[in-house]
Amino acid sequence: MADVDSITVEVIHNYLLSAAREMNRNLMRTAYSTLIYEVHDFGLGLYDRECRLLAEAPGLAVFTRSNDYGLNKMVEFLGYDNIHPGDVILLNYPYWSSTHTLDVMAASPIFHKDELVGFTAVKEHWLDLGQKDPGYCLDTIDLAQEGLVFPCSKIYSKGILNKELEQLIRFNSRMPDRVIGDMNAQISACRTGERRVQELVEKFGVETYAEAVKKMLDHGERLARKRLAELPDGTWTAEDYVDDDGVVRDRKMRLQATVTIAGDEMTIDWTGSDDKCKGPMNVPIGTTEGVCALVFKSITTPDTPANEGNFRPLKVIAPEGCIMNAQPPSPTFTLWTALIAPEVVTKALAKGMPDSIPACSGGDIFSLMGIGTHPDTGKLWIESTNEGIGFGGHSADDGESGIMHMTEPGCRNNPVEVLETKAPWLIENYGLRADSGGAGKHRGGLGITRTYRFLSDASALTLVKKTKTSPWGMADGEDGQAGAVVVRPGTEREQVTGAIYEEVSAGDVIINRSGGGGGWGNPLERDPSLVLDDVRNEFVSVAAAREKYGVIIDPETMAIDNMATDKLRTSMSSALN
Amino acid sequence: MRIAVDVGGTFTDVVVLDEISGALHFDKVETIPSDPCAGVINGIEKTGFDLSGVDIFVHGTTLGLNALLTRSGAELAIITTRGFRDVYLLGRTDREPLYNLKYRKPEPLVPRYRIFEVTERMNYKGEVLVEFDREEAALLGERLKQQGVRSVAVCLLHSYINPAHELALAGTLADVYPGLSITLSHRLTREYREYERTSTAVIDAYIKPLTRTYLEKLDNELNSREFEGSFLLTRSGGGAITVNAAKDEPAHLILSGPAGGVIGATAFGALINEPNLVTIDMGGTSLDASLIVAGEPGVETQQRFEGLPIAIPTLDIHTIGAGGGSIAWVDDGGHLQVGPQSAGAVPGPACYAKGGKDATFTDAALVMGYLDPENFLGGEVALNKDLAHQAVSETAGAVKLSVEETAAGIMRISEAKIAGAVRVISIERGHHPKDFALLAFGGGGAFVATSVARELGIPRVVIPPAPATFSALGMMMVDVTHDLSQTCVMDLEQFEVESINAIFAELGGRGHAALEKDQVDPARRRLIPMAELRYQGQEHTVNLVLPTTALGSGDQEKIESLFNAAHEKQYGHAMQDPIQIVTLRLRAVGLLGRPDLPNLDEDTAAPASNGSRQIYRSGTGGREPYFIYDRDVLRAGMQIRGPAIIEEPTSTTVIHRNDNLVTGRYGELLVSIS
Repeated sequence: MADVDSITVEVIHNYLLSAAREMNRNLMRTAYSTLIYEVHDFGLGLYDRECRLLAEAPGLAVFTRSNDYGLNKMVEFLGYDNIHPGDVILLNYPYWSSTHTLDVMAASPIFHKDELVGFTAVKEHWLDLGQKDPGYCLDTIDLAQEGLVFPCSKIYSKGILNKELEQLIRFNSRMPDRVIGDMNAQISACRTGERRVQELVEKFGVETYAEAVKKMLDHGERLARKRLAELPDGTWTAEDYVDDDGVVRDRKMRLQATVTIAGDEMTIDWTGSDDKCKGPMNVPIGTTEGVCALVFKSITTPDTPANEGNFRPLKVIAPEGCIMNAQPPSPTFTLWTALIAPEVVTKALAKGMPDSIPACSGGDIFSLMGIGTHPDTGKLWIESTNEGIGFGGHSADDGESGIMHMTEPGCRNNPVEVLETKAPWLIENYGLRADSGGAGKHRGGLGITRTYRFLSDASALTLVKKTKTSPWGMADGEDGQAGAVVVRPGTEREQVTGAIYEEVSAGDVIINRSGGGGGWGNPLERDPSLVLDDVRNEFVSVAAAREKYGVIIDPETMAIDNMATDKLRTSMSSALN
Repeated sequence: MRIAVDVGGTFTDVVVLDEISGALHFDKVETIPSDPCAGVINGIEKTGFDLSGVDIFVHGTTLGLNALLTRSGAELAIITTRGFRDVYLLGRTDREPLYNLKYRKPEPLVPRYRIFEVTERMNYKGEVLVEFDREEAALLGERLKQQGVRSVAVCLLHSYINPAHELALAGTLADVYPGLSITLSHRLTREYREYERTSTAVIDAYIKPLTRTYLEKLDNELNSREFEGSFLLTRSGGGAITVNAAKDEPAHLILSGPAGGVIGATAFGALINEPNLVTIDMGGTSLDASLIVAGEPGVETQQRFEGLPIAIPTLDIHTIGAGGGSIAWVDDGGHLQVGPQSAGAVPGPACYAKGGKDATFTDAALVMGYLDPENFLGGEVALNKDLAHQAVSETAGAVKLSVEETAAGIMRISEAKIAGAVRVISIERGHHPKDFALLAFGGGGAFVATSVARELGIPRVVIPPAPATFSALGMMMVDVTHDLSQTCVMDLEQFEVESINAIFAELGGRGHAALEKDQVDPARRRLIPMAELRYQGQEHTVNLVLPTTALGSGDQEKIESLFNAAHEKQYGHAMQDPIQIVTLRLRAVGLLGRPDLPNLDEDTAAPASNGSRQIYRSGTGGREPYFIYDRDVLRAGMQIRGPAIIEEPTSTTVIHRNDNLVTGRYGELLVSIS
């Protein structure tokens, strides 16, 4: 085995990171759907021949680690003997790919001469694969309703396009041109990654490369273990709820996480969570591992690029048949359970380390989609956007306002001007929700509100599953305001709800309102001048300043009445005690 | 006579070209951060030249960028469409760090209480849905006046397609509040995406008052010294603008400083017949990389500065934290890392003996033997080798390597990062480095150039004369430039050649008017039409340069094949899908004429060496002699075979074993990489 010094390891590491970034750029610049180039709904990475993550690029953080699981299943299913230079393999079987059917992973083997040295993997949201409903499904009851499944199917075999598969995709999609366009962008990104790793292996030789990769991953492991060892040992349990399972609408689903830190190891155990459900909110184990990895990374090594070594000290337990380890053919289309799960883990950790964990964010991801036939072109349109939420306050600072959920950091909102150009709707307003951030010494961030008026008949779809419980505050901080979707406000048919999929008529209005973050610490301890800033900026109302923070502000002069404030704060704190 | 002044963080560089004698004169004074104008004037006075004889004065300023960095621009307000107050604060709601649960956005330049709404609304076709409310706007103007807000950025929804309401609002504001500085978003960019357009307008409004004050003061100082020539500023998108245009739209000055180097590289490349260049400009704290393809520098329309987007064409300059002062450190996993933290000028590298304790890139170079401790900055600064050794040995202890191996490691990691930056602007844009030469400048560029070229497979390196002041020299070579654009969404299938030609005619009229205002003689004007195209359904576009003659209906197929080829090159694939024209652009250029640079005498004799130094060779434990040459003794045609080190007062060029150096006619060093 070649002896490789730590400097060469860093040089190779830098090269791999730049290769992953190049794949990202290539994908974004050539993709067709707004979901890719504006919303960044993808996750990609480079892997070694054992399917271990070497380097990733931003997009949806919740995706990246799940490619490891999918690649492992791919190798298990096809066998190394059936993987050849020039292949590009599609996988979207949820129990292997670890997301729903529309998130299709394209993977390609990387060969140096005749030797397999690694894989590329690009997972990307496809617009349509003939699933039960256009756009998105909220109420499937088995996998067969969820669209065309690729069980590791080669779209390129030894460099040659599999035209039959391409036709199969075309004939099974409601939007064949855009799906094929996006797929080509995805394949091009895989090819870019292949070329770059080939150059690297060419330069350093297979042995040195393999040894450097091993050392790089070991280094990633050391970083994580060192940080874990500094965190307090203990076992903490927390629970939270998902609104419903999509089919049985009147029952919340319980998630329970027990987190144990012992020395330099962490275990996350989902025992105690509800059993698998009837609707499409079930989570395959690979997805569960992915979201646990996301939280784990965030609290151990958030500032260094991710690789497989980082995650070695993490063990994930989920009893077979529970919602966090569902089995086929349970439907998995609406994976929102997995978006809410990470903050069940942080809620447990917060009990052991209140000074390092922020309060709950106002999320999930508040996605809204419209689907219809465009009156000008007569063609099918699908446009969507996710929305920012408020982050939770923490021991050192307020939470950020209008910022994407922890599962989707690279994701961007869709601009008003873009949405209106592409689809027949008018956006009546878009802005921050005053008073939605939980009061606290460090205030929770604000959620947003965006109002849509449909200009022609269409289907409206909202993906929101966190409206029935409030974003929790911490250390005497108050909860943030939960989000909601309001359909046809001010009419007889008004509903205040979360996830919907229904027909709307020209003139109908839908308001998407995201949640504010929880507050951290006692609001009566917040510096009155910060409360005044918040009131001046209309993040907090004059009334809330008085009622929540005990700060009395004259709305005309924008001055604090110090005496009255002291008096009010004293009486409010004695009432608390 | 031409004079160029480049104001950097520490030094202000001045170059004077006397076109009659052909002599170049270089000078350097300290930058005065509290009064940059005085620094510029000091620099000019130090040269001893009389301003009355100067035809062209070109200036690069980092004033705007610094104001952004230090958040020291104007107190300003934003006015936007009713219902959309928070577009600016929301931004795109994304973030780069993937795993930070406590992330905060970059500090906004405008607080929410200074963001106002006005009643009006257009749709995406530019049709008025809600009339503009003039009375309300007048009240807003009064309010801004009362609050003493000096500058306002206006961005109304869909103004890129119909600017009528922005113009009406500007008229109302000017009526009630004369003297208010007003930036209209559509003047800077005619493209959709309201946040990016707002941010562009905000940056412009933020730096406008201080830029105006500065430029007016400098203009007066120049005039009082009987300067009667043209006062030009290097521009973010390449080329230069007149001082008056810069006062109107200072957003174009954001990259004014670094632009000088790229402009110079483009012009110098043309002189020495190297149209394809990778450039690196390495200073004390950072490194700028850029790409010039077929004589044209790369331009991007979606850049961010300090996390804030600016949606106007801007030179594609990629900056990373790798400079001479970049600090080496050891991470928790025991691996060596370098930068992005820098020791800066104060305390500087450990070897400066100004109190710096951290090992930096410069300390590593000294330990390796590359630098002469007695002859750094022309002997002005004596480097302390013991302090460098001590600093690097502490790092070495932590990574468990020898001091020399650690020093070699610091250099290798820095070079890997620099190579990564070059990959961003070359390979990621669809260009292979092997098709380019590497032009290196700045204090440190020449030092790393050959190693970086080798790492990337770049066959040739060019070190221009006086690389440390190359940016100022580059400014000598500007043309006056204006970029104009008009959104024009049209399927290529419905190629309406007349309406395209009409738009180009209109843009051409505007281009000529702008150049007329700049007093550019018609014979010296060039109009370059371009089109941005995409496959239908795509968002991002590819920019094509079109023929300068009016288009004919037969050009449709030609454009199609050009676009397919460009897409294939940039992204690796072309498609069968219909193509759409999105934006028509026109670059209006006023040629100022290239100054002749002085030629070096020819002499093909072997240059005399100043002896040799022992340089550590990584992985061997041993050292290898490198011959030392004084750059001053080199004449055109002289050759040096590596390993060797070429020293000049403010820069050091290193060539390794089997690299071959030839001195060019302007004194540039041309190195073939082995």
